[in-house]
Amino acid sequence: MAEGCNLHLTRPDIKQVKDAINIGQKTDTGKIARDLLNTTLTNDQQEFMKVLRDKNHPYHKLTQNLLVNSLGKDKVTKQEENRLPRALLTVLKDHHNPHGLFGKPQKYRGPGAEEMKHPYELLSTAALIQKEVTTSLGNKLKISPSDRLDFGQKFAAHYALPTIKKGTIEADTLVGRGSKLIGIDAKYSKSSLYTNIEERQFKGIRNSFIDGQLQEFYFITNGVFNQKFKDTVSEYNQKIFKDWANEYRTIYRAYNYFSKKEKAELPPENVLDIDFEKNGEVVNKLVKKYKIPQIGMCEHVNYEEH
Amino acid sequence: MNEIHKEIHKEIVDTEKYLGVTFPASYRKFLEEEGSGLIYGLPIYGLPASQNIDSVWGATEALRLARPDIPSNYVVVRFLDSRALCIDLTNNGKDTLVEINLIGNEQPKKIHDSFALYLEKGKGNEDEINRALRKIENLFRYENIKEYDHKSDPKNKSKRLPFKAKDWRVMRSSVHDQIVGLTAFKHNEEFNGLEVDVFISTDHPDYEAGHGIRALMILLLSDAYKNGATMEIRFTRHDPKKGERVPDRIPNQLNALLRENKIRLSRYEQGIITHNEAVNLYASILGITNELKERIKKYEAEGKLSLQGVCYILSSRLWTIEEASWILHNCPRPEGVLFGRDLPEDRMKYLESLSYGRAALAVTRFRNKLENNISENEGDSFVEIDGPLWKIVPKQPSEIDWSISSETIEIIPEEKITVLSRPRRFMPSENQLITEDVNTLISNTKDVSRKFLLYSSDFSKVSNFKEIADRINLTMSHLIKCQ
Repeated sequence: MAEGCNLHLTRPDIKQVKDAINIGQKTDTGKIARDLLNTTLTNDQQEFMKVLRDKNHPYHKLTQNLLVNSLGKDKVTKQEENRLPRALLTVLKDHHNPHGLFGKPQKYRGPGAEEMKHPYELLSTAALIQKEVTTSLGNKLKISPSDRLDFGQKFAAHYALPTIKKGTIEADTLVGRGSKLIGIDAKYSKSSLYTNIEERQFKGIRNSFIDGQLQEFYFITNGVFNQKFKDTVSEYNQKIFKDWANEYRTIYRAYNYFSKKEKAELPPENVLDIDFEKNGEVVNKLVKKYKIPQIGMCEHVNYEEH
Repeated sequence: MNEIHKEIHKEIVDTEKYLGVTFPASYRKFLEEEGSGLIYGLPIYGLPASQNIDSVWGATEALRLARPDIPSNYVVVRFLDSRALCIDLTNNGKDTLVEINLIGNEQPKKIHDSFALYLEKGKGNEDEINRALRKIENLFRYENIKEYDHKSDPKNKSKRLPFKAKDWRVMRSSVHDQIVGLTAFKHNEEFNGLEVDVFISTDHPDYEAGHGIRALMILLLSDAYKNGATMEIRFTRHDPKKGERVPDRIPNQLNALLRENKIRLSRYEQGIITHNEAVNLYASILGITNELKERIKKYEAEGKLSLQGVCYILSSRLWTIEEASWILHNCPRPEGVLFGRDLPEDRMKYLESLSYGRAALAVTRFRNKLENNISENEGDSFVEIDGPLWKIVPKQPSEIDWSISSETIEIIPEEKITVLSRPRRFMPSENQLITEDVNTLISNTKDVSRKFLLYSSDFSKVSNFKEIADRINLTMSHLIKCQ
C-alpha cells in the first residue's frame, strides 16, 4: 500500500488545490511544441528535413505552427514567422540537433540555461550560417559547418559560478570554434531600432573575458542599435582594454627576468596612458596586434529565404 | 439544427476528413456539446478545426509527425509532458483511451476502457472536489476552526496551535506530493466518537486503485483510537436553513470500500458507522485475516489487548502484519512484545519479549535481503505464516551471506523457502537447543523447500557452534544468523 503523509490543510492550501484543478488552463503549449519537435528530430531527422524543405508537404504548415508555438507567438512579424521552417532547415543542414534548440541545454556553464525561446534567435543563427556579416570591430562573422552550436547557454556574470539565475549572462547562440568560444546575443526589435541597454549584461561579458570563459562576444540585431547602445559598447570595450593593460602592468614588475623573446612580445609599458578618445586608431591596432577581446556589434542580420 | 450547430457539425466532419478517421459517438457528442474542455484539471482537445496543437486535428497530426511508427488510428485528445492521451479507433465504435509516449518507441498503453466513462467520472469528481472545498471554506468561515500555520515559529508559544480532539481539524493525506484525500473531523463528546464533515479521496496514478480512500480511512480511524474514545464515526453536514449540523449520507467512495470488505452498516441511513463496524473495517483495511481476528479477540476477552489497538500499531508501521501475526501465533505474551508493555525491571519477561520481537524482526531483515537485490523482476516476496514457520517465495534472484560458515547462498526466483526464526530461550545446553530447533523445522515442514534456521547474531558467540552443527549432521549453509 502507498505510504502517505497527513498534514493540516490551511487556507492557502485550498487555493493551491483550486489552482491544481484548473491547471489545464495554464498548459504550456510552447513546451509541448518543443517536446514534439525534439522527438521528431530525434526519431527521423531526414524525414523532418523533407517536411521543412517542401512547402506543399501536408505537415509543413503544422511544423510552422509548432515552431511558432515553441519560440513564441507574435514576437516577430508574420513574414518572419513564415521563414522559420526554412531557417531551421538551414541550421539543421550542418548541425545535427544542437543542444538547447528544442531540448534542455546542458547547465554546467551556468544555472538557468534554457532552450531557444525567441524566433529571432533561430532566424539570426540561420542568417549567420547563410552569409558573412561585417562586425563593428571590422572582422567578419559567419558560422561555418565545422563550428559547434549551442543555444541558450548561461555564463557566470561574476567571479564564482552562481547558484541563482540572476548571477548569469546569456549567450543566445554559442559558437565553439576549436578552443575558442564565441557568444552571440540576438537583439530583436519590431521597430528595427534596438534601444534596451542592460548594464548587468555588459559587466558580465567583461568578467567573462577576464575569466577566459568567452573569447569573442557579439550583439546582433535585425535593424540597428541606437547611439546610446553603441556608446555603451564602446565604453565597455575601453574597460576591457584597460583590464588587459592592467594585467600587463603587473607583469612588467618582473620585466628583468624575461627573456629577449618574451620582452619583444610584451605590449608597450605606457598603454594605459593612451587617450582612448583621441587615439582610437592606436587602440584598434593594439587590439588587433595583441588579440584583446572586444564586444562587437552586427546590424541588419536577417535571414533571407531563397 | 440552428446555424451554430450546423457550423460545429461541419467542423467535426472536416476534421474527420482531414485526419481520415471516424470519431466514436462519445467523442463526437463531446465535440458537439462542449467543443473542448477540462477534465481532472487537464485539457481535452477538440475544436476549432485547426492545425494548432491544442486542437484535435493539430495534435493528432503532430503525433503522426513525431511518432511515424504508430498507426494512424489514434486521435490525440491531450498532450501532457511527453505523453499523448489518445482515443484508440482500432476497435470499431469503441472509445478506449490509450497513452502514447512521444519519446522512444514504446507501444500504446491502455489506461481507460471508455472515453465516455472517463469524461463522466472526471466531471463527477470535479463536482465532488468543488463541493468538498466549499464545505471546508464554510467550516473555516462559520465554525471558527483553528487554522494551522505551517510556517509558525515552534518556539513562539502564542503562535502554536494546540489542536485538541474536540477541535475541528482539516487534514490532507498526500502520496508523493499529490493530495489523495481531504477530510475535516473532530471528536464529538456528545456521542463519544468521531464526527466527519468533509471526506473526499482520489488515487495516485502510480499506486493501486483505492489506496487513497484506504489512507484517508486509516487517518480517521487512527485518530479515533488515539482519542481513547469509541471508534464510532458519524458523517454530518451544516444545514444553513436549520443553522445546525445534521446527519449526512455515507460518501460514495466509502460505500465501495465497505462493499469490498463485505461490511454492512446497520445505521447506514443515518450516516453512522458503529464502533464494531469501524473496528472491523480498520482490521480489514490493514489486512488482518478472520483467523487472526479471532485470535486477537481471544486475547481481547482476556483483557490483554484490543483489535483496534493492534490495528493502530500496524497503521503506525511499528510492526508489519506478518510480524504481528507471527508474534500473536508464537509468543506466550504477545501484548508484551507488540505494545512493549514489559519493563526492564521485570527482567525475565522483558528479555523474553525482546527475544521474540528480535526473532520476528530478523525475518523481515531476511526478507529485505531477498527483495533488495537489483534485478529486472523486482517485487515483494510472497510470505505466509504457518505456525512457527515463515514460508517465503522470493520473486527475484538474490544472495544470502549470513551463513555461519561464511558461505554465500544463492537464491533463485520462485524457490520455496521455509524459515524458522528462533528467539533465545533457556535450555540446559546449546546442543539440545539447536537439536530441538532442527527437529521443529524438519517436523513442521511438509513440502519440499529450502530450509533456514535463523538466529540472532549473538548466537555466533557460542564457541562450539560448528561442532554442534556437525554432531547433529546439519548442513552449515542453512544455519544463518541475522547481521
